[in-house]
Amino acid sequence: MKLLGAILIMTAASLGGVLLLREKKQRQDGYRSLAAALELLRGELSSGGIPLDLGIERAYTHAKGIGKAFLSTVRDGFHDLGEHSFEEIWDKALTDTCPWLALDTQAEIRKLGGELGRFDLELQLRFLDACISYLKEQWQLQRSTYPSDRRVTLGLSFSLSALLVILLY
Amino acid sequence: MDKEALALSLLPAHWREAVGLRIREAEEIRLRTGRRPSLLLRGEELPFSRDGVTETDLLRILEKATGASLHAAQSSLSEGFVNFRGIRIGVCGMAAMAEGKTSVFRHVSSLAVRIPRECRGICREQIDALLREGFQNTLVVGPPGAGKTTALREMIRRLSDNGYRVGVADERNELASLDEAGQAFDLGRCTDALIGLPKERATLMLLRGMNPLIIAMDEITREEDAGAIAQICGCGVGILASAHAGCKEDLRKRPAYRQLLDRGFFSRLLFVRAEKAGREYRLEVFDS
Repeated sequence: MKLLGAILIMTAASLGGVLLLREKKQRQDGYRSLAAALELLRGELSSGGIPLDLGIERAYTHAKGIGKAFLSTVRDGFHDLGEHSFEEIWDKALTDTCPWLALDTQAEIRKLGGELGRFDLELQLRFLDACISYLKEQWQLQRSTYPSDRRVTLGLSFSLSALLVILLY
Repeated sequence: MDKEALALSLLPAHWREAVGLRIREAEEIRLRTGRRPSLLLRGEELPFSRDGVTETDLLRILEKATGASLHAAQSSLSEGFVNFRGIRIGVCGMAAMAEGKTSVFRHVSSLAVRIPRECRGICREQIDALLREGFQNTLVVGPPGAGKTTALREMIRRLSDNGYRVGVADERNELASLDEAGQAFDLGRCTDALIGLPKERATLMLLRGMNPLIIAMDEITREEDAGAIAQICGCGVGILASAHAGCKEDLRKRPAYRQLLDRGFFSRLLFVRAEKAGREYRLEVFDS
């Protein structure tokens, strides 16, 4: 029984470590997906300065993952334009679809929302470029630290579970 | 089609409630920063809320009207207005120029939301006279806000329903007032409308492609618009247009109109005036 208990504890700890890693990987992919979605939006806006709602609709069609979910929420929020500003709609979409984003990343995307839809299209494109670069940098950073994170996470979960088994038994 | 509901939808909820049923008679919604929002009713501005208008309110309305895309509305903004589903919204404030055109509004201080309406039966007597005699080139004349566009719309409809093929060069989408759902005012069974193009280009396209008997256009203001009319004359196609002026003498003061009148392009003038009791219409024969 003690052996069974020990195996269960260690399996649970390992599983916890794997799930944690999977969540990290999904977040990493989320950065990439958001960057890709904003690139699509930039592409639509830069071709003739089309209205933002149409640009978001078109970008949504080709986006994937978290980026698609984000654009979808923004697109749906256009019904409330007037009662809420575009910036508020953008912020809410961010909070609803990407609450796991680091605070500084959220701030960067929020800043972009405050600049979209203004008079100057060139300035909007520059803000989009800045945000896309930022997201890509974050994605690269997360990607580069992922192997060591994986070792640390798995190692820690195994060590802690072993410690727990020793303490209990 | 409910342009009144569309105009109301631009306002925040508490202002919509305050306006209520008065929207049915309102000609315009007037908003100025620091002042109470008001409705233009029978020539008089009447406040509908105690709140003062802020620039944020105006920007929120413009955001709604342009779908959060001021950059996409730059060409109309450079003319001082935006179009929201066939509703013209005049914009005032501190503008900046680039390449000879208004490029941005640094600050927005006023909006004028004009509510278009289809008014069947107006200027009936005058239109009947034109139909009886056979259509003559007609210029609808009046000061801003007199009701020229509404009169022009009704004239187009009546002429069209009486068998005249009318081509409409609707540069600002104010005659047809077409919205995204494809709904537009009734311009008559024999009318073809070209929307969103400069009048001169639209006129040429209508002449070449739609075989019109009459070409109609709203608000001749520039030399180019007068050029569009010159294109029509000599083609055997009638002209129906509108112009800003208080009286015949005012028409002569503007070079674009003087040229049109002196060359005999128009033989009828329909004067429109807004009085407290309603609109007055007067058709005059014009002899250059």
